[in-house]
Amino acid sequence: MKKNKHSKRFAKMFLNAVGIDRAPDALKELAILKALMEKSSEFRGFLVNPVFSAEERGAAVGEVGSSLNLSSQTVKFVNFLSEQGAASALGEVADKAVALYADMKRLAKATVMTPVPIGTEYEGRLKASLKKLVDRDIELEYVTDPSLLGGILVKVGSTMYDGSVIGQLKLLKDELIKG
Amino acid sequence: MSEQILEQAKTNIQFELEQARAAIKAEAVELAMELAAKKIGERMTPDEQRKLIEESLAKLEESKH
Repeated sequence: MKKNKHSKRFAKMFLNAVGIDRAPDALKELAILKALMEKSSEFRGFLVNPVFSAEERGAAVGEVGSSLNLSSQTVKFVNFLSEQGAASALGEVADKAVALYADMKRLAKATVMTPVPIGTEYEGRLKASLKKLVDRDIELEYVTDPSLLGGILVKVGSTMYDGSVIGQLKLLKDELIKG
Repeated sequence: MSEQILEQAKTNIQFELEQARAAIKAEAVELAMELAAKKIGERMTPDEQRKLIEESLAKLEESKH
């Protein structure tokens, strides 16, 4: 999909509008809308299709907002994006806003992937070791991916630590092909 | 002239042969890895999963900035 060159500016506007204290909740709301846009072509159509008038769009967003119990600020922001013809970049704006918020809080989001759910029992150790690596406070997100077979794969920003069994098999495969 | 053609043909054959060898090797390795992954997946127990996660975490903890 074509990137919107203003997405960072929109993300900043969103964070300024909601304020740093309310940002975590507001970002969750944006993530919900991003997922909805990806899932529902109808909702996406309402936002991006020029056939619909601003009023129709506003009504659709308002309805979705009240059924999902979204804050008026988030609803207003989505309407604003739509008016700017940038609603298709909602997902991109949401991702940028998350990154900006993390930057503001000196937070790094780490995605911890394991083949089986691990709950939060390793949270302390993971956070401490990742903080040492990236010199930031760490926010963890857990993803279960059975294809890893075993071990842990962690992604923090552009850094990836692959301790998974499938990762080791891939290394072995590369060595065998090269050798 | 005919020697030149012969030489070129030999080079081409050699190249094709190497390509074919590499492709067969890659395919064999790919199949072996698929099989290995399947076997590991089938035999993995919750205890082994836990051990592997512990090992990965220990290595992560040893990583330097």
